[in-house]
Amino acid sequence: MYRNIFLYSLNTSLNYRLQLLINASIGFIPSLGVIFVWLYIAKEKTIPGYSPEEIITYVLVAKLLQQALIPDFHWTMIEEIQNGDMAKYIVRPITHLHYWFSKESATIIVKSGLATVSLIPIYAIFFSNLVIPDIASMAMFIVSSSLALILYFLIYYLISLLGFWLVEIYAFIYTTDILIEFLSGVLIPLDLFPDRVQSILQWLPFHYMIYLPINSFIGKLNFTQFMGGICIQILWCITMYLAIKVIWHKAILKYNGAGL
Amino acid sequence: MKSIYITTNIWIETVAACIKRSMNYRSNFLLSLVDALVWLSISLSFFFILIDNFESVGGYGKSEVLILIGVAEIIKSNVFAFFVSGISKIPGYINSGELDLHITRPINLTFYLCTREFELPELLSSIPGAIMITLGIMEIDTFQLSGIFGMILFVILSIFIVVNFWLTLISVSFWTKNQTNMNEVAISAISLMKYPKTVYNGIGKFVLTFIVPVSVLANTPMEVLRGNVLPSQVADFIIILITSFLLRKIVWTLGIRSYDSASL
Repeated sequence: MYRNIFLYSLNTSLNYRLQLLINASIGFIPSLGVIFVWLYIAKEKTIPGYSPEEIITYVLVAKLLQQALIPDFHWTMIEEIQNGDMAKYIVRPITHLHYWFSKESATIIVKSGLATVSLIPIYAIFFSNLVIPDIASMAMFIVSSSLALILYFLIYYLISLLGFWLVEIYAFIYTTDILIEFLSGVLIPLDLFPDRVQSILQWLPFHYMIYLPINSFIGKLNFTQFMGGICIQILWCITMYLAIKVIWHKAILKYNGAGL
Repeated sequence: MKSIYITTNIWIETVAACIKRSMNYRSNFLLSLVDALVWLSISLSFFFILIDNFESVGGYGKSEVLILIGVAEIIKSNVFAFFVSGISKIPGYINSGELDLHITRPINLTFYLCTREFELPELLSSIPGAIMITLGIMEIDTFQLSGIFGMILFVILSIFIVVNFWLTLISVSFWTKNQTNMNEVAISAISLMKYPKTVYNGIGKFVLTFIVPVSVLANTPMEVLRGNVLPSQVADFIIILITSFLLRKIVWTLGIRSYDSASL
């Protein structure tokens, strides 16, 4: 059943790929400032731990990866909670979490494909200034990105469950978006943060959403570091999943199906 | 003279009604403020981390960055408070034909559509912007009091440039009937004004100065405040202001002429 949901969503997303591309392109505009800042710094300064090619690759690929992985389902989910449409999921023989994961993962796969295609002209323009990953780095990147996809989904699903208690949640979602963007290393590699902040961040899930996959991509991780990161990613996925189960149970007990 | 009086009265009543409506949703009010503070904190943290690692960003130290982001926040908060809600609905009016209703009103159409809504929570995020400017001023040597008046003037002019740019983009809806993308493009472009203009080079510098003039919006008022502005920068700014106004006027007028009324 979830396979059919996935395939249907994949078909729908492929039909609207131009809209996805337009949305992704518009979402890329705010990053131009960050990219220009890093291009300037790479030319003028020495960046600790990164060569100019590595930092430029980091910034470009991090933003593309974030654009691909950040989900959209939470807006619909919150609307359904607040207007009473959640009832249709409760009476059906499906798990709400699994339903949305099947549906959203298809969209994310299409967005990832578009992001990969977008890399072609970027590499063509900036070829000599970018890192080309070897097969091992690419494999590590794919594995860590796949887990990052699950982590992104679970975190946004968990936040969306707040819609059962909060009426005005949209401002909170916007705030969360920018916090995650900053703390996951999209704007600045996390190893440039102050040491104390780094030591806290390495225990939070954000560290493994963008920073780990990108460092795999540019070949900065050895196999031991990569496996350590993967283990923590998996642990966070399990933690988020269990938290969702507990909060969902409490939310359904509260829910009356009439909308807020 | 009478029309200005009537228009002003209508605008004041509109603002009063919007303020009363905002105060009915106090939690949203507070959340908007929290959202603005988080945005500011992250922008500041981004630059401060870079400055801690590299001493400056495009020649801008911490005091310059504080002033730049403070100015950008004041511009953004005023645009979002007075104009965004009104402007963002124009494509919807065009698409649905509701623009007919507004065209027939005895008031300047552009002014009326742009200022129909007022968002008080957005305006209040000017306060943290002003605080950041004050903190930045305390650390610079070249500050003069006349700089504040110059900065306020250029901030107001920057707001006009933003509104003209936004309206020009929105006017594309007269032909494409697209409802949302142009608003998103404008909001995304405006977010670039908080970066030092010195980081832009080559074709990017030209595009972001003269075509999508985001690099001058906050940077020029900041330079005026510091007393470092060059006559050529002021000249560029004035040219951009006049060009944006004329371009908006032309595109908007052509759009209105091509508008297919829903009643026909």
